[in-house]
Amino acid sequence: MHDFFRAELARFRLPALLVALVHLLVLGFLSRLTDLAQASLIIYRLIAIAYAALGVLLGAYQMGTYRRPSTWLALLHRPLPPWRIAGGLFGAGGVVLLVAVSLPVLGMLGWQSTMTARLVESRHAWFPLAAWLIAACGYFVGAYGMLANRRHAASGLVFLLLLLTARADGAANIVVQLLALGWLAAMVAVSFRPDRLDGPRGPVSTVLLALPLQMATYVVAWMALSLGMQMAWMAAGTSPTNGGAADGGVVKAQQATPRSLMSAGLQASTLPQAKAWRDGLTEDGVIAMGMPYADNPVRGQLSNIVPLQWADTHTDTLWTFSHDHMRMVGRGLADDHGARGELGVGLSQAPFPTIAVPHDPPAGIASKYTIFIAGDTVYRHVADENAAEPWLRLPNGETVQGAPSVEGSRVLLQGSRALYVFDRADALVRAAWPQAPMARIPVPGSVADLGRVDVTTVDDGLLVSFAFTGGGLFYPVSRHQDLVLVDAHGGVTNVATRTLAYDFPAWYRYADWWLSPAMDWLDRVAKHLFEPTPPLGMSEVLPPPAGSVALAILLCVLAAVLAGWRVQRLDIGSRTRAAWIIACAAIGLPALASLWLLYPAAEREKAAVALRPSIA
Amino acid sequence: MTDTPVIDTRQLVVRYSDKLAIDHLDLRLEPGSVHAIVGANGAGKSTLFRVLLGFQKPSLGSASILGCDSQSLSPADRGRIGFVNEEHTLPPWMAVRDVLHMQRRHYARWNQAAYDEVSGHYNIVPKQKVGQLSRGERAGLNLALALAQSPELLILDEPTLGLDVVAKRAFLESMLYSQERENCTVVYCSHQMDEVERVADNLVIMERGALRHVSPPEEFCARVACWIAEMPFRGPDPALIPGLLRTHRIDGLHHYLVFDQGDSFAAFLREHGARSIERMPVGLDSAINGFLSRHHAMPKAA
Repeated sequence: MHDFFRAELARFRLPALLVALVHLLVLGFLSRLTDLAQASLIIYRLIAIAYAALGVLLGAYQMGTYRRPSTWLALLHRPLPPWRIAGGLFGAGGVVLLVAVSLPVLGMLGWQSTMTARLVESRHAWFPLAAWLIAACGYFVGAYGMLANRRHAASGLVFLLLLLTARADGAANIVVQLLALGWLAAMVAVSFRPDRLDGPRGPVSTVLLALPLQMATYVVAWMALSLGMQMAWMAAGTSPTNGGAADGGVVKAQQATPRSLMSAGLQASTLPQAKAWRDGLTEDGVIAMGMPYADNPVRGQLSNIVPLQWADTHTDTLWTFSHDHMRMVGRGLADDHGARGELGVGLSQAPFPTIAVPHDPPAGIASKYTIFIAGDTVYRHVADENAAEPWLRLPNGETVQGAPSVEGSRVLLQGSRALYVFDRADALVRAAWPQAPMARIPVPGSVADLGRVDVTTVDDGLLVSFAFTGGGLFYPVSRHQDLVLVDAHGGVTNVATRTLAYDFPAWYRYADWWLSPAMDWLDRVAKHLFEPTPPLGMSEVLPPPAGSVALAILLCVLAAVLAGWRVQRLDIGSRTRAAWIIACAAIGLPALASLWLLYPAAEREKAAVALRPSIA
Repeated sequence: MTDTPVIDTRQLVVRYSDKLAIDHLDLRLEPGSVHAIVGANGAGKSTLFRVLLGFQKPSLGSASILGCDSQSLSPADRGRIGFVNEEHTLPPWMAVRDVLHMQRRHYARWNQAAYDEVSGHYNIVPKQKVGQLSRGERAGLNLALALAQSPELLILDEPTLGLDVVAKRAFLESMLYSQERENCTVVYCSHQMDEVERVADNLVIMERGALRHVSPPEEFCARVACWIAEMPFRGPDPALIPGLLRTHRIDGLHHYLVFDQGDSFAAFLREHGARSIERMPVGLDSAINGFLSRHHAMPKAA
């Protein structure tokens, strides 16, 4: 193993050093444009894609040089078990990635930490490891692509897709990356054998190779169906998302102006005042609060899902929220160097209870002051004292899930379970801080499904529209618009409930489910592995309709029948045949596709009936 | 060394889609000899070696090598089998000394003297990269490495392809010397009949994946004869000529290359009007050439 390790290391040392140098230069250039340690999630995703692509290239190139039959034979035909040879080759590949990917990241963090006043904290220590893990996953994807039979060589890509969509944060995300790496390494290990093109041997190998392949075929089938139908509808001019949305549907509700949505809701009301309210609506009189924040930053999170920096131009300070200190840490805005101290809660500069997200001041009140949203409280920056003061606070342990909005004499704040109303005049009196809400309006449904909230003032109070259009057009949840009236005393009265029509047929909305309920479940489990509890709770997912259930059952039965026919033509044992039929019955078409792709065509039968040429 | 065949295949079939690469092959090769396997391109020789070394699963039948099932060779089994292919596949990025060092560590019965002896025929500098070696030097290095492993069985798949005459001679001498000294079995696959004639104790002819002939080379040559007859007219219909391998006409004389035909063939020719008949011995090259040309692929228009 050591010999192969050293030989491969010697082979790739120069390219590794060159890539490391280029990588360092690119990071250095980018760091002059932005603070990479505080970059947004999309930037991190792009960088992660680049690392994964680099890994794929290395794996594909390295194994590509060995995959020719004669080279493969020369590599493996020796008195060493294949795993030791693989250990040497892939160990060297891992070290190459360490040099090319992790060391420049580490160098950049070191430079930023020691040579600048930019914030580098303990969560950033995961960066070199995360970068290496992502690149190593790509490396094994590339290696597997070269080693495996080309019929299923691309299936490892599902793990890169998983890394892009995984919802785990911080160290938990590292665990997800480790799991993906472990599975990919196992896939490569079972394929690293003399007859690498043969089907899997043994139940463990079969599961290792079949499950990602099933997920890959499931994803491809779903995307082909989804995109294909969208394209067809667009071509026919009937696509709901491309100008063909019907009235009373979810798309129209999403696209409507605040006034027209409020008006549509009032039209469904039976209250006698509804017509007058409706007639009195103006475009400027209805304000949109948008949809609640679906996610809140979590302490130790590797990436920033929202910006955690804000600039105080009066004091020439760029403040960055520190996960380590749980306070804002300042540095010179102009020179990027001089330290400006810390900013916490109150005169004592106490730490914030949760991650504080800086936000522009709301229009119409305290418009000069930056606010911070953290947990159940909205804080206001008090410039004279260089401190954050609790300003608006929600009761009942609810978290703030939106920026404050001003509507007439009220300040509105979206909580994790209700909309809260504060008195605008009191909000200006510092002695009353932190201010408690004067009214609570429970959200009439799951906040996780809430797409938009619109409010307007009418003679009788405050009219609030909750439109449950969130979570994506195909998300299987109840779609409706609810209007409530909040009177001067905080009393809440239901005004109207309007059911919103689905824009797409049920078979299309549930395509990801009926294609394979098992894969749909696995997809959700994998994406949400180690995910922290979502602040808005869970969606109220509706069960699939009877038609989709029947279709799912039909496809599973069909898959089992076809599997029964197929396994008779394969060179596998009776137990394996039975297991495949059961798997196809449980998983459906993706399992059948994997059966087809994993095992080469049945040569035994053909060979047995082949005619032998006669000897003259 | 036991009497267990070094190679034993039973009804071995390998099929690529609609093509039979190995066709119900029953082949048993005894230990201690140099076996030459010859055949036209596509005869299935390389496929056979891949199956024997466990790098390809047979479609049907079984194959064993040194008494071990080919599909479950252990690392120790592999240590007993040397293999040199026509491409002399060695990592081009490695220095010769590093390759040598690696092989020496991997093979417990490493014979440094054998390596030095064989590699001494070539101008190989230890610090040279493998990729910088000429084809002949790479072949020599590859053979030296294979022989130094002290294998019980050495499989050589067209090892002299592309070598110049000097390198080829050095290669063959090295192989024969080592074979005699170590008493290892050699399976030698080549299209060069002069080499086969020189090294082979046993001749195996394969054609389109099937076994056509097994015997010592001289026995095979004895069964092939060239009859030269002077015919007044066209001569007999080739379809009626017994054992015909090939026929052509030179300077008005009909040349018939036939297999397994005794003196009765002279009578056959006389019956068809031959005025003079002469039987000529045939060299291995012509014999195999004629034997294989019967079913060799030809353009449809030919």
